[in-house]
Amino acid sequence: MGDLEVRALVKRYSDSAIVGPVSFTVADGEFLSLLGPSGCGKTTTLRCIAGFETPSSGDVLIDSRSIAGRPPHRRDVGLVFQNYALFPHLTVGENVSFGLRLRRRPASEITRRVHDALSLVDLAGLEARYPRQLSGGQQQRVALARCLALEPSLLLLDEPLSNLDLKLRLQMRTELKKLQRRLGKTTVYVTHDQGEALALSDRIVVMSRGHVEQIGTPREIYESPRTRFVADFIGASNLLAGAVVSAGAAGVIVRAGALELRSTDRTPAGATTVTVLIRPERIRLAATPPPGADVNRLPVRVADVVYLGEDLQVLLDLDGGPTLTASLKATLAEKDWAAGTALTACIAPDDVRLLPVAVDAPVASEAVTP
Amino acid sequence: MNATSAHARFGAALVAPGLGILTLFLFVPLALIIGLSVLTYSPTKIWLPVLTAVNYQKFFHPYYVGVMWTTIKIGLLTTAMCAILGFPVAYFLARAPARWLGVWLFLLVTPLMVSSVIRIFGWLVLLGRRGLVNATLEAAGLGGVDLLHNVPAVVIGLTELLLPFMVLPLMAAIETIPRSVEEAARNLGANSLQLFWRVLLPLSLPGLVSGSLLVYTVSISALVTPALMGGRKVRMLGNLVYDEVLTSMNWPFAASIAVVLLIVTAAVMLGYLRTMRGLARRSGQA
Repeated sequence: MGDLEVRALVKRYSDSAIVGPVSFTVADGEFLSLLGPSGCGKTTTLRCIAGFETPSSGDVLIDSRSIAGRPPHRRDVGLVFQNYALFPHLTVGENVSFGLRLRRRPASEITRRVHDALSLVDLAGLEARYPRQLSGGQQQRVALARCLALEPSLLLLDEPLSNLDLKLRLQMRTELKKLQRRLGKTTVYVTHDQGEALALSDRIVVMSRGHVEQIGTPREIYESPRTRFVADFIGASNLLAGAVVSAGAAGVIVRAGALELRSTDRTPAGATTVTVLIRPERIRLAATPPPGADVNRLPVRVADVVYLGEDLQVLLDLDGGPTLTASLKATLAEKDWAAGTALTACIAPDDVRLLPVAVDAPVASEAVTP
Repeated sequence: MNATSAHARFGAALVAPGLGILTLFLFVPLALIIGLSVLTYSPTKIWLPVLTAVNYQKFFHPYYVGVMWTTIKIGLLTTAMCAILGFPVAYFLARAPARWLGVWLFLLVTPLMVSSVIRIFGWLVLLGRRGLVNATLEAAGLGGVDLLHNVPAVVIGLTELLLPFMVLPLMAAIETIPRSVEEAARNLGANSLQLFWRVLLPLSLPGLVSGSLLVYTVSISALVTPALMGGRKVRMLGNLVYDEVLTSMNWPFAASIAVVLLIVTAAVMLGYLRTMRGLARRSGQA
């Protein structure tokens, strides 16, 4: 009833840029996001599904039937564009009924389905308005209603919220999720906003430079990133270059600079050097070293405290080692840590993740905070 | 002196030269022509200062009315041909990659750089009695036909001449239609024909209107093309004026034909504009 399979999809461009091979499946009713920075191939993948790009190889299947050979207007796939792409010469009602009129539905059915679709997005009664008379958020809803009126087996959304201001974006995000749950519509959502992807998706496909980095639930992607790119792109992270000292039943000991850390994570197959990931919010800070042997305890010095309202970002200097960023709830933290205060950073071995060292040039060093 | 009046004076200073040229070289001669058209013809003095309606009465002879209808017909046919042939070209140009656009535009306007007489002689070589097409027909044993000296020949000549005037404004209009709007129509199930009728055409209407007005007004006042490609058989109002001025030396009658031509042009334009504005309002563009 609307499951999608993208099978070894490859799109080659003349200037030797390649997207793919990309493979993933979306179960009926599932919400899947394609997440990555611009130029990672997520939009190309979406356009191949919609039929606006012809893949160089690979296949796209809906309900196990290939649609790769079909022109875009015979695909039964609804696409919501980033800029909404409403017809400026048609009213809201005419926009929403556009596809139904092309299919020569009886007038009574068109009226009913236009009304239903507009009610779904809370715009009933605005049929006679023109798109330019609506706000950005309303236009976005019309674009959505226009797709939903045709009841496509698959809904594709191309960065639909990126043109809205922050507050509206958050509100629309919630409504979109609610609507998708209610309709149980199989959805592929393209975004570069990790927050959107985490909040909306059942599963996320993280893409970078034309290939898939990792596919998993939001929790898997955040908690157990499989590559340095994923760790860096999603959430804030402390990434340290480490060397494996010993690996045993009790865990792995890695050395990063002058630090020795114990981790319960598995070493990437056969690796002696690793990338160590520690999420800032998993670092606890204490003025006196707490008891208990099972925790990594690091003597640190406060370099700076950045107040972010909800959170407090604490930059820490390690003796002879790299710097770390810790993130604490502002309400919990002692707010009078001056620069130079000596503290102990406590990190559970479970929170020390070991990732393979990136094979290609380290692009990941730029954006650390979201 | 406040700022507003200084502003207004500056604006007036900018408008004045253009307005002056228009007045001197368009409105004054136009007034002279209108005046001339109600004066009496004299074989010896060209015109006498006696008011008369004879020049206009003479125009209502079936021959001259026939020429008027032929003129309007050629104008409308040329406009239609330019629109039909020009839309695909305009679409292609509007969607062409930027680095090629210059080359295409150059090719489009190159014909305008060639004298229209030379261009028409090109057509004569093709369509003439001993021309390429006829020679081929004769070689195939199909006999020759006179391909010139008919309305289609004049329309062909004018269409070739005026195509860029349709393509350029249409192209500008199509460029303003986001590609995603086209893709949205396709995504909703529109085939190419439906995409054209329901999205592209209504949204490029402003360009079509200005292109049509340009082509129509220029073609209806054509002189060289009908003279060379229509011969004595297909005559337009411009040819009549030309003959009256230079051959018959009946300037008052020539002036009255010119006034009729002006009225015909203006009437068709106004009717067209009104229809298009109605269409645009219905499709929510006004």
